[in-house]
Amino acid sequence: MQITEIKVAGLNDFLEGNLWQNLSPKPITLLRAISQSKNPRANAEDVALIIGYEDNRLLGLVGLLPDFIHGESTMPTSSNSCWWVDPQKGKHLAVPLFLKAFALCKQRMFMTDCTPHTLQILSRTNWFDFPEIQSGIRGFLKFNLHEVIPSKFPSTGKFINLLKLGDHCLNFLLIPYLKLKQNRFRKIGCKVEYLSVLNAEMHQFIEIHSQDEFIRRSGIDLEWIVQNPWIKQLNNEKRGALVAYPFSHLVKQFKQYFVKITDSGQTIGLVLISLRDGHLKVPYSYFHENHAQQVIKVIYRECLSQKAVTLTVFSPGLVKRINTDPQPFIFRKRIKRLIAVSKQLSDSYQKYSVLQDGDGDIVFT
Amino acid sequence: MNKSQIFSKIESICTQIFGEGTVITETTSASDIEKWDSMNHVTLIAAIEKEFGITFDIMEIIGMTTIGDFVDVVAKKQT
Repeated sequence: MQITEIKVAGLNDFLEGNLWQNLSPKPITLLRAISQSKNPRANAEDVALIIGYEDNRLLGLVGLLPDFIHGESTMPTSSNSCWWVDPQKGKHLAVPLFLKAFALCKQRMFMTDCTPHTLQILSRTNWFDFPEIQSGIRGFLKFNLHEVIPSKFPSTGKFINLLKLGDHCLNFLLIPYLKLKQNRFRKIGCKVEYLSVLNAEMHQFIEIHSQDEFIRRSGIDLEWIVQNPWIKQLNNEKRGALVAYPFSHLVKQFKQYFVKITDSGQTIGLVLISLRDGHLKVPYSYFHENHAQQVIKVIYRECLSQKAVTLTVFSPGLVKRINTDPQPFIFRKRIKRLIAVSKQLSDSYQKYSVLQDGDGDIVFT
Repeated sequence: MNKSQIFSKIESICTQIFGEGTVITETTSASDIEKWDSMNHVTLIAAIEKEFGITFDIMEIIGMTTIGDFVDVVAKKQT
């Protein structure tokens, strides 16, 4: 068994080499590697991937996404972007691989969406702090039983076609009600502009509205994210021919775009919208608290025009508006996000404790 | 404390974590014990640290793959 680390500068060579060609499953996709190699916050010597393998079988991997705290290059950090071991042959590798990654990023690591299991493991190491649980909202704009029920009760997966039929019938019956309820959200009372790149005004707007953020992405970072996704939209015919990878990377629908919001000629908000298989998220949002109501209205309108099934939001300003203002959902539920910050970063996190929904690697997935 | 005494204590910790009847030798590693997963790995490390009043550093943990490795590192830290 061998353990190898791949630096950001070595990703291209790794993809072209025999090891990547022969390993199964693949430790990194082409898209992730390209994206990582263009990361504006990474140095060539930063480690992006640690893998354990035997012959041509991948036994485990830990991914790192190099980043800066508060956008300062003098405060490097990394988020843990993936942690996987082969369930049969790799379980002994989970902790050593993770700790190797932890050591390589000089114990300056954070995670913005831990599973309870990961949190439990980390809590026993004594190297991490666990700030407050972040509360968010998931609003449902349509019935979506065929995804919700099997995710909670996997044995119901065999009834997926029946559940799809149920969704179809319920959504059909609700058309008049939904039209009545949701039509009012199509009028927003401000102007929106769809952007694929950000001009100097937008760069400055982001800078002004991100003063307290822990990661504090710049306009350049956001453009890199949108232009270098980790997820690929693919039609069904092409799926069979693709490489095995332990994490989802192929979906039916994936797009990300910026929405600039102006009122009376003045920019009042900028949001990055992410739509994946009907699920809409807002990884990054910039606005003054006074304009939160207009911003959430624009997001609702995006949900309706994109025919989204759900909207997921963690931004406290937006969550507050969802809870207090009229909203277009059939129903909504509270969701939570578990965060881990290594003790080396605790002081910085106390100083800048605002996290955007997409911080870490969440914006990519 | 000699290595044999250290092994006995670690063996007892392993029995608590992995269950009665688990066969522990110096060459035992995660691949020999079904219940030795990531959670129990960190539990084992924390329990050994507590029992012997020591703290492992990351590189030591990465290097400890068998029970014999744990015994050696604990013995080294006690001298």
